Amino acid sequence: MNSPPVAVTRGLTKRYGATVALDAVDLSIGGGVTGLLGPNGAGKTTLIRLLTTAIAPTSGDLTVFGLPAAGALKDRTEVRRHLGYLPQEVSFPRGMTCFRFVDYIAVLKEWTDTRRRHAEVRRVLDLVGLGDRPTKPIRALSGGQRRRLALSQSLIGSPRLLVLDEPTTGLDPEQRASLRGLLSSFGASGAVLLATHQTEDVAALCERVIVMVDGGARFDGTVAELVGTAAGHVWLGDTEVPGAIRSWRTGTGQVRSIGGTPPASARAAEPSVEDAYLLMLGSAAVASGVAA
Amino acid sequence: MSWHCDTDLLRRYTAGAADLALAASVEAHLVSCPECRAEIAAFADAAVLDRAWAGVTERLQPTPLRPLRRLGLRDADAVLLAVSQSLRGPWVFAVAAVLLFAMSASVVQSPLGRALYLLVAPLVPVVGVVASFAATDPITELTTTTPYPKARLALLRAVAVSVTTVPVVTVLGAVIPGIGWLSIAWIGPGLGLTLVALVALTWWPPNPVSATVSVAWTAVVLVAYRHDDLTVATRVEAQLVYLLVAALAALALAARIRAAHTPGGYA
Repeated sequence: MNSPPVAVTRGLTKRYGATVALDAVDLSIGGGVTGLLGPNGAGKTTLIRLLTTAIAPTSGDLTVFGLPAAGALKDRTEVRRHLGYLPQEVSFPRGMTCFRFVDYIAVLKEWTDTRRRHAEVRRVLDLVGLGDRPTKPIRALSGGQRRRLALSQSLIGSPRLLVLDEPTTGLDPEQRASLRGLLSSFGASGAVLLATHQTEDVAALCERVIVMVDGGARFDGTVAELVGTAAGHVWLGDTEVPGAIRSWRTGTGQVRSIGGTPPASARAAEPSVEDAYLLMLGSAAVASGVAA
Repeated sequence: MSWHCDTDLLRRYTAGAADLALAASVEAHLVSCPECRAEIAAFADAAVLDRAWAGVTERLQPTPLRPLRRLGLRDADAVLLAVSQSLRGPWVFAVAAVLLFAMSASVVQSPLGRALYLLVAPLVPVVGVVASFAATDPITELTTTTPYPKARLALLRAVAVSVTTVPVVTVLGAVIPGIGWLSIAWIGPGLGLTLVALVALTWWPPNPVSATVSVAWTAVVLVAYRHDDLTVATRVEAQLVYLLVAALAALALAARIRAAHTPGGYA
């Protein structure tokens, strides 16, 4: 990736009282689809809210499209002109229809010409598969439809940087596949930052992945490099590997173990993004006892 | 989709030359097919579409906005106001409350009725403005990250609420006997309280702001009522105090906006 970075952070820090949500993060985000992985509370959403100018940093530098995004209002406004943002949770104002919601955001994105704006609203509703129900009240939509409606507003004007916080929540496999198609074609010409818990989305879509742990970036590299960190640490055998960080019995009756010292009977297995991610979380994941 | 309308069929349909059964099946197909919708656009008469679409958007405008549009409100601004009008409950409630109190004042001709009018009337624009922020509060995160000037958005809302509420409350006070000059005198505190509420909205969420301003104004009216003299709250000296409060609040609002804090959040 030799194109200039879309966003650069230097010592970016966000504190809420005594809590440090983001601790002196140095990152550079370029074109294509970048995955942002990390457990809850790792600072993913804080990083995203800073990048999208929803909040101001406590300290550090943040440059987006070459402009100081946390500086003067003029620069922040210019950054916002080229941003698309899907927050983790969008609770819609009451009594709105799909069309009116997206139309509202489009006006806030400076689409003042009514005819062009309405055409753009219809275009993004079509992109997420809601083009046939523009006048449907939002309260009558399913969870997946609401998520797609929220996504549609982020696509207005085909922004240079699309930042999506958990976009696949509530989507069924078919909708997730169609979202992947949308994001990969978007990533071919622009930049997408995708925060997710779904390691399979990262494996399917991302060229690059950042793993956040405890307010810092623990890993930053290609997906192949992330998977590579788990090579020689994933085992299949009849019993659990002693000292494994994670192990479970698979559908074939074999036990898959991540980490630990394997007995002679175990054989090395091809690692996945999820294996590498779990290995990286390591002791922190074990301490929290999730799915142990 | 297994088939698409061919170009000739679409041309005949838009010209009105397809028979009823054929036209119905083309319409059913168009509803679910973005590709054919894109194709048919080339055959449609733009002037007819514009007129139809203008009619639809006009119908969709919530009622308080229609007069504003006739007065020259731009379409894009109407869209911004329409969304905050989706929480019209408190606004309607406040106007109804004024009406009720004003009528009770006229019936009993009592100081209590007049005190109730003085209590509620200035709170109508306050509640209306705060409600317009409460309505859009769920998507503040999204609104913040758009390039639209947030200070303009806040002022647009405040002005629209004032334009639609102040005449209603004033006329009600004027036509119902027993209110008299109070129907004008409430505008001073109304202006002061609304500006104070806007400043408070740069720090706090809508509901606590609405509650705090209401409680503070209730205390003022209660003191005046206890003194058996509502003029304490409405005579010239008091009006000068309200104007001073309004001026200070306007200065504070300007300072807050310069420091990147607008009503409703981060600028």
